[in-house]
Order: sequence, then structure tokens, then C-alpha cells
Amino acid sequence: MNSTPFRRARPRYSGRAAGQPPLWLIYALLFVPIALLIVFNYVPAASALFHAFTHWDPGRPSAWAGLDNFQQLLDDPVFLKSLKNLCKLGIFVFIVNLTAPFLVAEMIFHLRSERWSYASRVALVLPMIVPGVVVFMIWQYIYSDAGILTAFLEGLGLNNWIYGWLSHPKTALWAVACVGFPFAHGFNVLVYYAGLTNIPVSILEAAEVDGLGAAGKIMRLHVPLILSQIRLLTIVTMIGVTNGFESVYILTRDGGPGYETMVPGLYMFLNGFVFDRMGYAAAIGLLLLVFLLTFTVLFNRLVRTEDYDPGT
Amino acid sequence: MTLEPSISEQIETAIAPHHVQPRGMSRIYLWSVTWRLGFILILFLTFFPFVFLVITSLKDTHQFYHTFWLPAWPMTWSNYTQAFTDLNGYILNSIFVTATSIFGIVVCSTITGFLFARYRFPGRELLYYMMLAMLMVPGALMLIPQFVWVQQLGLLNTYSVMVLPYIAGMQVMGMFLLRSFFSQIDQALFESAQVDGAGVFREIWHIALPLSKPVLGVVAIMSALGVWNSFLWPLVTVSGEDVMVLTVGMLRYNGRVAHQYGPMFAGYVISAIPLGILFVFFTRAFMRGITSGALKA
Repeated sequence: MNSTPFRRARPRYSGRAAGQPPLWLIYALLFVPIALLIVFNYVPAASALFHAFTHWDPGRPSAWAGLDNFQQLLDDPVFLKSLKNLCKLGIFVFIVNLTAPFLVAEMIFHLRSERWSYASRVALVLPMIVPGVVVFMIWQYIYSDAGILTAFLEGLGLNNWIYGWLSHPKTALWAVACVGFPFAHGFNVLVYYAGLTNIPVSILEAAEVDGLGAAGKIMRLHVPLILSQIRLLTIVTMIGVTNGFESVYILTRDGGPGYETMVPGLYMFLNGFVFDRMGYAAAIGLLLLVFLLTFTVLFNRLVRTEDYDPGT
Repeated sequence: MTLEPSISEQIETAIAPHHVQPRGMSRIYLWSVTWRLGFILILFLTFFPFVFLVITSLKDTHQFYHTFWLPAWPMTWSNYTQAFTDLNGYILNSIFVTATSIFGIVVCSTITGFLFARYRFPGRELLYYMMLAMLMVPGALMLIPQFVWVQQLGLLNTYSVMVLPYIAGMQVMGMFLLRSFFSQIDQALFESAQVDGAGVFREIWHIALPLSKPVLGVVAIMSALGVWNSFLWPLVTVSGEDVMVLTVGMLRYNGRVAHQYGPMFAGYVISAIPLGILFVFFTRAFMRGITSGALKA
């Protein structure tokens, strides 16, 4: 997406180029896809932007509210709590989802046999056939009284370690954060692995000759050379954490106990569909969007990555 | 006489490394063993819940409480028949919605990708960037206005509410992938077809599509994963049982079989089968489809 797609030829619109279909046919063919995009994406996006500045309750016309919604948000303890939770969750998920798959990708990368390497990549992708919703339900079970975790700790005789993980205020947020343990997420592993295989063999051999040890090779060679993958995963993870509230919705339904597992996305959802304050919900959505765009732009500015160019 | 020392020398050098650096060797060996054990442990932890799920899905309640970890006989296959009769409506709906969406996405993105790649017309750049811009807006944030809007259009509780928005949103990624692929095809192929009198449709059907099967597979798999797994949108737009899809249906099913773990887990296993079949037959496209979604960022 970084390359300018139409750089090569400035368009000349001097009538029809030879062999091109008539313009009306081109526009007719484009009509349906573009119309769908306008109806189902642009109209709602515009509506979201507009209604963030209104009081908007279902069944009643919306009334202009200026910055009211945003002012209220800043004083809303639940919203502030949800931001705090998002920070904790974000830092944890961010660290874990970037490092664990990297280690796994390194392990696969070091497997000598191509067949085993492919097999283990396929194996790590395999869990993705289970719908996300069902994965969260499985974790709900794992944390429950009759669940694997309880049975495991009982088996070890660690009875006083057993909590109602999802209902105890101290553990609920961390229980949500640990969904997906051991975090060898197939997508992240594949992205890292692709980055590692793109490192030119000549560099790796040079490092071997220079006597760089295993740890040195990973930290000083692999990490800098897969920086663009790290950047990509950072942004994807950030977007996922900020928008994603399906896991919290399935696991605790309302961000409980209290507001211990409330996140901004869920709070938006509840405001829109349960509390009937849709303008307020739209304002939360807008804040999250602004945050994400700022983050993406700033991050791309700060972490400049240049792909390794063997020619220079 | 002259040969013997040289042979022993050869043997000496052949076995020498094992004697010379015992500490270095064993450290490397230890390192690679830990590395491998760690890898196996991670794989085990990743798969254990799923294996446990399959085992438990074949137990009745008594077996569940008495042999918790291990498989128990006789296997309770009726869990699966029970789960299937409860879920097959949802599954059919999901398959229908996913298949229709994939078809729409592939058709739309082929046409737009081809037009953007091959022809020049006023407004081309504007329309192209107008489509791409929508990749920047995460769907979850538009959930509420989108919902109100389709409500006003009278689309709630229909199949179209689960197909049209997906086509609208996911065609963009497909267009992007296919456009860059089509513009890499040797344009002389299209030009010679033109000379022979082929129009847009025949160029697409006879040249562009056959050459781009792998990319089409990627687009199809990406869309399949996206539509099949989507949960929040069908949760808010569909409440009637007759058009409900699997993800939302699972939530209801979960409530119906609460604490009957056999049927519950049988349902979970069944929910993974359709994508599992896709995975088995299109493993490579599947794996590529997962990573090429990465371009979205």
C-alpha cells in the first residue's frame, strides 16, 4: 500500500484509448461495487461522525449537542475505568502477542527439515478453523468450576489457588487477558516466519563466519531485519485490542464483576444497544477511531523501516 | 607399515571433534534440546484444550465427572446427533451466507480490480482511493450507525443484511490484491485478445481469471474466514431463528445445554467442521489467505 499504484503513466483522457471499452460500460460495471460501498460504508461512517455530536436516542430525532458527549465521557467513571483496563490489557496483550509468536517462529525457522517446518506451521494455523466465538466459549469453560484449570490445580493439590477467575474482581481482567494461552497465534507466527525466511542467506552466513552466537544472532540480526513485520504486527495487535470486545462480551457479557473487565468497545456496544444512548456510543467510537489513526500515523513515522536491498 | 599410521590418523581426526570440545558441544546440544522441548510444550499447550474438547464431547455426564482427563467408554455418540439436530439450521444458514458473500466479493473485486488495473478513465484515481480509504475504518466502530441504517432500510432479519455489507466491505481487500496481480500480467496477452475481438468480459473470463487462480483462492479464503467468524453484526441484526447464523446460534445453543458438557462440546466440534473441510482441501490457499490479510494494515 506504500507504493503509488499509478506512478508510471499519467492518465491521458484524450477520448478513448485504442481497444478500451466505451466509458459508459466501465462506469456501469463500477456502479454496483461503488454503490454498495457508499450505501453500507460511507453513509454509516458519515452518520457516525455526525451523531457523535448529537443526543441520539432510538425512536426520537437526534438533537445537536456539540461537544456534550465528549465532555460527559471525560467525567464518566465507567469510561475512565474502561480506558484504564484497555491500557493494562493492551500492554499485556501487546507484549505477549509479539514475543511468544516470535519465539515460536524462531523455533520453526531453526528446524532443519523443511517437511517438519511446514507441518508445524500447518499445525499452528489449524486452530483457526474453530470460530472465534467458540474459542472464547472454550475459555469460559476452562475458567469455570468444572473446567480444566480448576481440575489441574486440584490435581496438584493447590486448592487455595482456585478462584472463580472470571467473577473475582482481582483476577477477572487477567483471565480475559490470558485467553489464547500460550499465544502461539498462527497469523503472527506466519508473519514472523515469512520475515525470517526473507533474510538473505548471505547475511546469515556472514554472521556465522563472524562467530555470532545463537542469542546474538537473534537479537542483533533477526530482530532488526524483521522490523517491518514487527511494525505490522504492532499495528494489527493495537487495532485488534482497541476494537475487540467479543472476548469480553462472551466471557463476562457486561464487563463485570463491577466494571473490572469493561473495555471502551464493549462500553460503546452497551451504550448503543442496551442503554439506548446512541449519540454517546458514537462519540466513543469516534474517540477510538481518532486514537487508532493517530497511533498508526505516529508509529509509522517513528519506526521507519527500509526493506533490505541486496543491490546496495 | 606405512599405511597403518595414516589410517589411525584419519580415525583420530574423524573422531577428534567429539573429544576436543566436550563442553562446547554439550552446551550446543543442551541448547537445541531445550529449544525443541519448549517448542513441543507450546504445541502441546496450544492443542490440549482442543483434544480435551473432542474427548469430552464423547462422554455422558456421569463419565465427565468420574473420568475427567481420560477418554471413557462406551462413547456417547448421541451427543453429536443431539448437537447436530440443534445446530444444522444455523450451519446451513452460515454456509449459505458465506457462499453468497464469497461469490459477490469475488465477482465485485474481479471486475473493479480488472478495470482499475487495465483501463484509464476520468475519476479512476478518485474512485480507487475512495475504495481503499474504507480499509482504514475498523468495522466495529461503525456498528451502531450501520445498524440504525439497515433498520431504516428494513433489512433486519434477512439474509441480505448479512450478505450485502460483507460484500461492500470485503471487496476492497480483494480489489486491492487482484488489481496488483492483474497489472503484473503481460498486457500483450490482453491486447492480442482485443485484436481477435474479445470484449471486457471475455478478457476477464478467458485470460485474467485462469491466470489468477491462486490469488482468487486467497481472496475467497480470506472472505470465508471473515464472514464465517463474524459475530457482532449478525448478533445485532438478526434475532429470528430461521435466518440465524452459526456464531450467534452457538450462543443460544450454549445457553440451552448449559452444564451438559458432552452435547455442548459436540456442538463446538461440529462448529469447526465446515472450515476444517475447507482447510483440508485448500491448505496452501488457506495459509496464504491468512497472511495476506496482513496487507490490511
